Formats: sequence, C-alpha cells, structure tokens
Amino acid sequence: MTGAPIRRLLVANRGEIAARILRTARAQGIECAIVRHPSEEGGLAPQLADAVLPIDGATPVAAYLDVAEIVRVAREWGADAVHPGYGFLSENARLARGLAEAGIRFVGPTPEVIELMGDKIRARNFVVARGFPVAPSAIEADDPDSFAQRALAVGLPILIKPAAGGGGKGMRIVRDAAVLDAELATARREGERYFGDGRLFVERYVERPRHIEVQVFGDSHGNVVHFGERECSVQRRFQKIIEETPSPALTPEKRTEICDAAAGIARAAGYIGAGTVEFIYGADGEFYFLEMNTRLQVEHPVTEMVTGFDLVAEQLRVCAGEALGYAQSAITTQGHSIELRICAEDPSQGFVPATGTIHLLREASGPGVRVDSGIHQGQRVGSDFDPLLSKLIVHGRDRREAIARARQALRDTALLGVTTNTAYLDRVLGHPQFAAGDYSTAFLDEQAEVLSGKDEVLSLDLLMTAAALSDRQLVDAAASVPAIYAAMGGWRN
Amino acid sequence: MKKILTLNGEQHACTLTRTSTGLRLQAGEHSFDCALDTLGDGRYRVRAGDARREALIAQHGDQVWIHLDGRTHAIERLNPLDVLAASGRGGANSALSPMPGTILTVQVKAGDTVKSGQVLLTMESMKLEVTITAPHDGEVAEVLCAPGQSVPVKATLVRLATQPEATS
Repeated sequence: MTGAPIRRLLVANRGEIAARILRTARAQGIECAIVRHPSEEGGLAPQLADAVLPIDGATPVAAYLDVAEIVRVAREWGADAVHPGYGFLSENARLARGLAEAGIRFVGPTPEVIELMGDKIRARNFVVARGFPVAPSAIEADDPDSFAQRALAVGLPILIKPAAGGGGKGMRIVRDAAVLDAELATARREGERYFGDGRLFVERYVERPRHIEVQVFGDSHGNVVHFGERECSVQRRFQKIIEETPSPALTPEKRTEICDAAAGIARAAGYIGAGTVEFIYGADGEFYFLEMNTRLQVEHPVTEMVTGFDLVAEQLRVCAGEALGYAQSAITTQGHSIELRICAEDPSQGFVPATGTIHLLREASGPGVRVDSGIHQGQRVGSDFDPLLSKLIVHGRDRREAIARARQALRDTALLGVTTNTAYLDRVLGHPQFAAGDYSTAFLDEQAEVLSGKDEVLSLDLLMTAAALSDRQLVDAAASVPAIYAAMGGWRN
Repeated sequence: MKKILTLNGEQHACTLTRTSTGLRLQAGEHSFDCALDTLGDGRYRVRAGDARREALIAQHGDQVWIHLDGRTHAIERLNPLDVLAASGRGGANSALSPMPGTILTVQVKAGDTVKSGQVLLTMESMKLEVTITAPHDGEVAEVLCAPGQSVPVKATLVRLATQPEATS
C-alpha cells in the first residue's frame, strides 16, 4: 500500500481544519472530497472540495463519529486515503483499521500506536519503561477498591483524568480530600459521556505549571525528527486559546532536552506521521510526559510559521510512503509565531457558546498574518459543533513584533452577528504578564478580573450615533419632522 | 421619535431630531450633532460632536453590530413600549437556558423545595457541560424540559413559585 501517491483524498472533518487540509491537498493536484451532515449549511470547506459527500447520523456530531459511515463513504467515492483532521475520529484506531481493510490509507500513525497513546495509562507505562519522566500517579484499574486512598497518597493537589481522555474533557483538580469522592464521580460520568469509558487515574498536580508540547514527525522508514516546541499554557478549563513558539520559558539547553525526549518517545513507539508529545513543565524546570496526540494539532500553524514547513504536505508525503528526506539539523526556526483561537463565545457571560448569523466578516491581513478560517459571510453558526470559528496566526521577527501584529490583527478582525472572544484575546495579549512571557496554565483564572474588560472605555456617543443613524425607522421619523418644529422640541408620544 | 438602545445591559434612551444643518441625537440628558455616511460594503464614517471615526456596521431586525476602534459591540434598539412590555414579563422566577443546547439531567420536579443556587438541571452545548441553578429559594412550580431535549437560548427551563415575601 505504501509507495503510491495519493490521488483521491477524503477529508473526514469540517470547519477550519478541513479547509486547511483541502488547500494543501488541492495545491498538490489531489482530488478532494469532504463529508458533511445534511443539517449543516454554509462553511468554507465545502466550497474548496471537488465533492461533498453526505453522511448519515442521528445528530451531526454522531455522523462525524460513525466509523462505519466514514469507511462506507470513502469506499463508495473511491478514496485512496482519508485525512481525519483533529477531533472526531482522528485518534480512533477502529477507523484506521476499517480503512486498511477497505484498502484505503489513513493519514496518521498505525492503529497500534493510536491505541497505545489513546490509553493514557498504557501510554504512561510505555513512557516510564523507556526512561522518560512522568508525574507521580495512581491508576484506578490497578485496584479499584483502594483507588481513592491511593489517589490521596499521591499527595494533594491531584488531577483526576479519564483513562481514555484528551483535550481536557473530564479533568478535575482536587485540593481538598473532602470533595475527592464527588469529583471522582463527576470525572467518571464525563469520561463515560465523552469517551465511552469511565476508567480514571490521578496524577500529582503541578501548581502553576506550563504546558509545553513538541511537534514530532516520523516516516515509514524509521526516521523521526522534531519541529520544536509550542507553548500552550494560556488555557481556560484545560482548553488552549493562545499558543506560541518558541516558548518564552525555555533556555536553549532545556529546549534541546525536552525536544529530544519527545523525539525519543516517538522513535520508541515507531511513530509514523505527525504527532505531538505534551509535557507539564514546572517552575523548577522539571518536566513530565503528559500525553501524546497522534494527529495534527489545532495549533500546528505556529510551527509552520517558524520552520517554513507545510505539515499537512509532510503528512501526505509520509502517508504515500515517502521518506522524510531531511535530517534534524535541516529543521531550523526563524522569528516568533502566535496563534489565537477565535471562538463563538461570550466572555462577558462566562464564555457560554454564542450562536447567530455572520452578517459581516472582515478577516485580518498584512505582513506576517495568516488566517485559517472555516467561515464566510452569511453563514449561520449553530450549537452542534465546537465553537472554534477560525484561527489567527501571526509571525514576527521576535516575540515583541509578533504580539504587536497579533493585537493589530485581532482589532482588524470584524465578525458582526455572532459574539466572539476577539476583544478578550486582545486583552490577554495586552496583559503585562503575557508581554513578559511570565505565565502558567493558571494565568487566565488568576487574572480573570483584569481580563474581563470591565474598565475598557467606550466611545459611547459614536456608538449611539452609529446605532441610531443606521436605524431606518428613527432616521425616517426625524426626517419627516420639519426642522422648524423639531427645533421647538416637545414632540413626544 | 425615541428608542431605547441597550449596550452591555445598560439602557440609553435616544431621541433623534432634525436640525437646520443635519441631525441631533439626544442620549439621556446629553445631546450632540451627528452624522453617518456610508462608504460602501458595510463601512461607514461616524461623526458624534467633534469625534469622527470609521466603523463597520451590520444589522438584523432590532439588533445592530458595530465594529469601532477594534472592538465589536452589539446594541439592541427597541421602541420604549416594547421595553416596558418586556420588563413586565419578569424572568426572576424562572431558570432560563443561557445558551442553545441539549438537556442532560433534570434534578428537580414540580413541588420540590429548592434553595438559591441549588442545581436544578445540567445541559450541554458545544461539548460544554453547564449547571443551571435556582435563582432564589422557593418551590418548583413547573419543569418545562426533559433530558435529551434540545432548547434554544433563553428558553424557560424551570419555573419557581413566586416567593411569598416578594411584592408585586
């Protein structure tokens, strides 16, 4: 199966990442299809695909998670490869196997590696056995009866995680032994709901940690390289919202150490394709393996901006059986890159998801500005999917220039009709702690008050003018009153 | 003619009148000359007193979105009578959905006594789980949703009986 170029690619995803993958694949002359649920309307990705294939499901999300349905559609369309994007089935070994049985390639690692890294406990044991650092932990399955007791023995605070988890879902920090049982029950429920698996484990929670990850890449010829790190500590409820590279926390020595560890883990696993090894980085410079994501990450563009590589193109080459063809030393970085996740949510209302129609859209542009967008003007944004609308990625010669460009680009981004987090992101970038590079995963919580924007000064007269004078009714009513009477006032109803 | 413009939860009573030279907006006690010129494609030049700025404006029904100085603001424009009618409906005795989504669990039934802040139900939207709590102590008058049900934003999910000590 290896050795043949990809001619027909099915992208089993939607939104900005589907559009991102389609752009690279089409530029290579690959014929592309995309799946979509009949209830979906609009979106940029379907406009870029040669074919849009309907998928069936009780809900739109269920359709994207239906392995048999994706395999059926891929086979019927005659795909010779399927790119899963991120989320949905991107880390599903059954999809990789089902496709292999149908003679279709999966753009990703082998099912065995997906299974190994998808089971957080097995992954952890694998990493420990090969001498890489992990945080002290307790695993429920070792002895369920004594789990709560062993969890406390790890030493508070602890972090409860679903064994099958990822992306922060179902994770709980416990600082007080009294709430342990209740938090375990909640985490188990969430694990069952999101991953169909209620097994848990706990890890020592590193206070004010940083989350640093390393982009790794392997080919089917045994070569493994890394593309440097990404700093992903700006998080809300374990969800990343701003990522950057290089990390302002790492010295050159630490960078080499953490990147080499990541490449070592990927090499030990026989990793093929794009993967990301995530680490917890403590204030003392110690780091622990967190998990490995066996797919393209949301934040992959910052790596592309500083290395000049197209990671999707590399994925497709490796999937076609080609060797990477370059050594670690050929991968160099230049400047600084930051990614901002633009989401349909309302920061002033506790970040509840927002819906609506995009009545007017202006995306940012300019030197060093890239927008990975999945939306267009006139599109309806519903509540069926994740709130990520687009990603703003900037590049600068140094971190200071990247921040300045990011802030300008955010202010140039206008998405009228759906509430987004752009102003909030701008306030995060403008915070002195962010400017200093001195932040941890606790940053957004600790600075919530400052970041709320309550103190921002409004140009109220201008806003009232814009609102009133764009109101046909108001303007027509004013115009119908002769100026002489209007000047006399007293017109009330 | 007067309209109530609501921005960030604050209401501004605005009256627009014609003058011999243009338009004048009275916002509360404060009034100023103003103008709005279209530049095409959703772009406008806004003038309020001595201040001038470019803005992007889009509108739909009562709602207008204005992108000015790098920030987007949503403003609702209502006739004063509609604002009055809306305030009479009273949401204080009801738990509303803060977002569109699906009901996961309902933990109360009609007749239950609940304390302020007690969890009434949980719902999910865009993969986020949100708990809906009682706005005050009281008795559950009516549960208007069930697990698995999809609800729009601001739907009344649970109604509480009016507090005995509450006036009006």
